Amino acid sequence: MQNTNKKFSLTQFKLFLDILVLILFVAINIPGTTGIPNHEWISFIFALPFLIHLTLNWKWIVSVFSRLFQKLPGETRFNQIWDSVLFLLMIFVSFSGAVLSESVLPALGIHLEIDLFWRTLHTGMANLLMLMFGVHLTMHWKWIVSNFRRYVLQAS
Amino acid sequence: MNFIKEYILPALAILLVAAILMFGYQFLADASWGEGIRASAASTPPEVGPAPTNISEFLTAFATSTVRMTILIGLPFTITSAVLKRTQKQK
Repeated sequence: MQNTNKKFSLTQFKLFLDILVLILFVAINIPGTTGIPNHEWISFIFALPFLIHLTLNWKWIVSVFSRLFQKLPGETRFNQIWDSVLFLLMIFVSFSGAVLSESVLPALGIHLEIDLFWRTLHTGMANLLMLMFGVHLTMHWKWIVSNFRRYVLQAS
Repeated sequence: MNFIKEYILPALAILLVAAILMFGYQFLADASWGEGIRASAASTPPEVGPAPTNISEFLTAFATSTVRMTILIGLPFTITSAVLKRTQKQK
């Protein structure tokens, strides 16, 4: 019984975390509206829920990667490859954004010389990241909708 | 102990992989083709301008952002949904 409650609350936590990740992701990707300083601060804040999102899905990551060369269902294999590329891209965009920082890092006393190399790649890769994120969202849409109905709509 | 094993260690592992990747990405900037990108970036104005200062600028920026987000996230979402539905029907 105790175990069921634990699982129940963890799923709820995952759902609310994913909603937060989605909201922050959208907010990050509208720098024309928020302005660059807010874009940077939201991006730095985003790092924490993103890390928790990955940590909470660690079991899935390990189970899928431990069967890297074994036969997997098509959808699982697709998610494995897609999510890996998404992770690589997310780290790239985060890193290239961090080294371009004009507000957050200077506010923290870190002054980096801005390399234009990163600016071009940051913009291009961020657009690609959004396209890939759309697909990632679809692949997990069923889980999001069913848990949203269960924990948000039915609860209210 | 379980919490450390289930959450803290995975988080550290993810951070370690991210740090290694960042270290690798830094090499990209030093590669010879980096010069070409740097030169073209110098002659291109930044895509994002200053933040809106009044309500009409904000609404314009918000509308542009909404269209951009709809295309970049909504379009792949819709296409993948349609493909998924079709493949699940075939099964």
